[in-house]
Amino acid sequence: MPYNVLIVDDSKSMRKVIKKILYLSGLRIGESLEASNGQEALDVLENHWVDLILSDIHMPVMDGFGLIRALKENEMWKDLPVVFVTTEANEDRLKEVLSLGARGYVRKPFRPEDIRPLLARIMGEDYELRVAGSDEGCDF
Amino acid sequence: MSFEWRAAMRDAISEVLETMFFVSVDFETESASALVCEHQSSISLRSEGRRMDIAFEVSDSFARLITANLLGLDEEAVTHDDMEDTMKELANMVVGNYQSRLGAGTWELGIPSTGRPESGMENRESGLIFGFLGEVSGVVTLRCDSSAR
Repeated sequence: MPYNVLIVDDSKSMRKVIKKILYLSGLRIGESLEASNGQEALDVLENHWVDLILSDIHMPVMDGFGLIRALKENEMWKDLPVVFVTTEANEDRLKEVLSLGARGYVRKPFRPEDIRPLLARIMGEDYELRVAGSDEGCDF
Repeated sequence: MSFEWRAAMRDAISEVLETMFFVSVDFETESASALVCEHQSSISLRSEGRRMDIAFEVSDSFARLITANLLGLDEEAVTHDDMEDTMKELANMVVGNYQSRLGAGTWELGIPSTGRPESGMENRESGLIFGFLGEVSGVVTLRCDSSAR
């Protein structure tokens, strides 16, 4: 079953890059949704089924901390896996997002091979068995 | 400005540009006087009352190149909005990387913006100048309070 993924980043460019990497990752991607901050992400979740969230931490309006706190307070969304893709270098803050329930993080800059095993582990995919296949659905 | 910020910033710029933008720059360029910077972005780092502002200025051709490389587009297909967004992401990633090289401390990364901070920045000639394929391509300037150095 393909996974619906929500990409949350205030940079349109980074959303495109992450989307591209997702399609190349070997994960079976269904719908890829986008939001430019945590509040927009919550709005998207009101109307769409999402299996995985990839989110930046530093964003205006609602940052990644606000997003994951809001998710954990919601019965429907509290178990949604969240992975942060971030420039954050402060170890204490990275530990904090993990303690809030994030399933992992990837530091920018990153290579596709940095993100692929993490996603495979979280989503339970044996990524070695899959080849990216195609860029179908990716306007990259 | 101290040597230390330049060395760490040089490493941060190289790592980010090579990893995410597939561009390798050199830092042998001596003067930015010939550089026409059409794209600017800036970002701050803050820690317990201390603050650094870091500004990035690059030529149009370099902004177009890194944007095309980041997005996997032909340079002709790159829009002004794409370049503005990429400039912000460049500042975000380079200074995030620089933050990790500052060692101990609790620096907090701000949110990047386009343009240069209003005032108080060092002039370009005292910044960190970089080039690509023999041409001056950009300059990074940093302002910090005395305790931040």
